[in-house]
Amino acid sequence: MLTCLSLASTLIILMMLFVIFADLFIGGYKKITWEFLTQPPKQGAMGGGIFPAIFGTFVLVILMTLMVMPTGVLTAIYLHEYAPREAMLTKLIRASISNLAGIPSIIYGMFGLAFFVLFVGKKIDALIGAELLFGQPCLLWAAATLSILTLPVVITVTEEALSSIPEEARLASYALGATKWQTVWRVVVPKAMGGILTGAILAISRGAGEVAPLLFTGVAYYLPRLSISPSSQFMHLGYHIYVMATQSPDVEATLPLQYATALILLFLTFVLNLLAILIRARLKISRPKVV
Amino acid sequence: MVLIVLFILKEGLAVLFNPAVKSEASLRELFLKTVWQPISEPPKYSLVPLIVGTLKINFVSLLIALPLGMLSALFVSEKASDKLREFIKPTIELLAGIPSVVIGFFCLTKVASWLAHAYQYTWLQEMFTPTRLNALVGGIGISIAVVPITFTLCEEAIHNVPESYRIASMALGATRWQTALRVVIPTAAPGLLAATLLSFGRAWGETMIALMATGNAPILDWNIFHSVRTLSATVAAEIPETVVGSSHYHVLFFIGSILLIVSFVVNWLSQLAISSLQRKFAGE
Repeated sequence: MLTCLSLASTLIILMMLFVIFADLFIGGYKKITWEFLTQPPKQGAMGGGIFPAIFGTFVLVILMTLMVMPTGVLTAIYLHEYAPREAMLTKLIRASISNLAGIPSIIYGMFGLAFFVLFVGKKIDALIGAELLFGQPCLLWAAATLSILTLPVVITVTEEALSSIPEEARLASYALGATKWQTVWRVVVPKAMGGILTGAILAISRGAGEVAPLLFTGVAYYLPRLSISPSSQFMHLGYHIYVMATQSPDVEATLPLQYATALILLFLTFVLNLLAILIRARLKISRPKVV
Repeated sequence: MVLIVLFILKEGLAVLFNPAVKSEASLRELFLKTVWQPISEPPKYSLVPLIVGTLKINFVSLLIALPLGMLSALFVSEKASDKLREFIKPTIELLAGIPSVVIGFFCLTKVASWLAHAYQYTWLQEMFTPTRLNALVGGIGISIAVVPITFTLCEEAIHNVPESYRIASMALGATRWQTALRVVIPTAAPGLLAATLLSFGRAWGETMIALMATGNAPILDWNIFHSVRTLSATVAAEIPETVVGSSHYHVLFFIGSILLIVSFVVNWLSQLAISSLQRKFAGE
């Protein structure tokens, strides 16, 4: 009896995945043409393509990755290689990371608004004498907010990667006369590159999908020009879906667009996640043995 | 991380201490009155409909996600072969990777429509007066987001029970399922508790699905077929509309503080549960 119940539950969960994918695919595939992907929206975002949203999402994610990877990897290296195990500071850092991971994404948005936009931005504006340049929602702050959101992911995965390197590799390096610094940078980190890469991919996929932190830190629905300046607003795939679904004036007309945009976003995150899973699996199989 | 706490609390605490703000939104009004209408004159700031709405949705989603997650975890750990396990686990993790906007969108369009078919039965209409976007739809959406977390954590907890326990139990004559129910699950209980807490934490903070699929009307009742407004959706929807420094602004950050504090408490409790589990196994 229990077998039936538990098997049924598993099937239900798998079905959820399948149904969502199938529904989005059926609803959206007709709209996905080359034109759709490369044209900006027309007719008040009721026709045309979604290129600016794709572009905005990409730029945002790249900026975020540039911010999060150095910080995250360095923190992980510090925690794993240098920090004393039982020190108060170490425990505090680990507790902070685990708490950060559990904070609802909207709180990140509020923090991004209160801290980056209103506090840091205003200070920067005062310093450089500009009139409301950095003190408003823009790409830079949205990327910064997202980078804090994905920081725990990067740190955790990088630490996992570092732990998987056998101690013999480090000992061998010391035995050959290297300092700790040299060992870390020339032996440990190169070996951990696969794991670090996985962390980056997971961070990117999470960052591309999250919308709540962006709502007040930089995203907009219909921008007339495609701008790349970090101090301006940008369009974003997820936000586009949200606005179209909840606020568009003509739901019937935009429904195919909504489906197509959702499909693109889903496809993107799906591919990234799959990539991360595959890399992880391959690393487990082909871990080189240190003779 | 300290920065985050500092800034949000800073803005939120202004509600408690700033006298100008207090005249419009005192603690009493926040918790004892029952209407949320910040645009009215004078504005009404009760948090009660929002809290009830959030709890309604969390309840529905956990009601769906916890049994599904736990039973599946049981199946995958106990009954499934290793190869099957290697396939199912990553697949469910993929479900976790779906952006919540997309889940919200799916609920808003398809799930609400499916349920709307059911509302055609007049007895349902009379008893519950359902609206298209309601707590049930939102709850289902959040459960889709929460189920992978529940599953992964429960599966780990169950899988970490040492094989020796199972072997000993079966050596004493128990069947596989008796072993699962009476030996494995009680042993994994702290881990399952942590899974429950963390699932609740995820459901508690979920914003996008709540924004899109719940109808966003701060109605105060326990009927799951009515629209609701969660705490997080309120923050998301209203911050862009407020004046920085107004009492509305401070109340919204106060809501953020509540969200934050509850998340911390839930996290801390689940850490306790997990470390008690570790201690239990270390003693073997």
